[in-house]
Amino acid sequence: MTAINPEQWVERHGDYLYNYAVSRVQSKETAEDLVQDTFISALKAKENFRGESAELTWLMAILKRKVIDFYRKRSSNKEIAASNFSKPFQGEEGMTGHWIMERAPKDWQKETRSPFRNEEFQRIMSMCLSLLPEKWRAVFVLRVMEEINSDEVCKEIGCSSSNLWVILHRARLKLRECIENNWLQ
Amino acid sequence: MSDLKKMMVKGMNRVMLDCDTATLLITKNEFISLSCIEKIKLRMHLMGCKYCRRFKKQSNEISLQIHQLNVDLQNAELKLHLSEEQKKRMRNNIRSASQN
Repeated sequence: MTAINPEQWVERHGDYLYNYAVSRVQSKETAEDLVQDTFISALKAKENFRGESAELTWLMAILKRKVIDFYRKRSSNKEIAASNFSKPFQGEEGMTGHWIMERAPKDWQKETRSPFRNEEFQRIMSMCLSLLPEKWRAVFVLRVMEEINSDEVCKEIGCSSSNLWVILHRARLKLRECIENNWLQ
Repeated sequence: MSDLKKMMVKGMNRVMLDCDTATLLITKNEFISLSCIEKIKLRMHLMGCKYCRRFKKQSNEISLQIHQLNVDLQNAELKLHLSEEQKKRMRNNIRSASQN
């Protein structure tokens, strides 16, 4: 059995857990809280740790649960339509369902003056994720980033599976547009 | 728009996807497999619509970047670091929780 060293968790695993948490909740403050909560929960449950998995794997499992709980709490009672985002498609008055020209995807390769940089792109992506309505962000993070299956995600945050696609669809439209508007300046 | 034109658009939509539906299918397709009809309709739409082709390409790019985030984590390429102050705060909280 592996010995547990709560005193050393912060030094050993703190940064790793923190980086993971920031990527999931897009806020350093919230991320710190979640990591802290993880350590406290782990401490309370340390009898359950059998040393079958590595310490970090065990802590990560707890933190992943915290991230799900975070989104579950935030997306309960929130309507899907709780956003002023209008789809970038034409309504009845035009070519219904076709792109509104000014909002149609631009050619990213052609429009960027600066070369493609991962770090810059990821910074903007994270900022744009934080701007999504709570429930959309919940679906996006849990389904796309965490790769939790659709049924599971729906169970956690309360949605039907057809709802899930609608939310994911809108979230990706908004995310793409936000990245484009902020990146191609 | 004239009634005739409206009817033509309606008729076309039965065969051809609009961009709203096409982009929804592009999203779905990243997670589940589409039906045969959906696949054919989407392929036909993409042939004629450069904006949806761009949407598809850019969505792939976004997914790749998200995947990259996970890979960086797995490789422990950590971009952020807890400050000494944050660490101290955490250690103190752990200590007081373990005394209770």
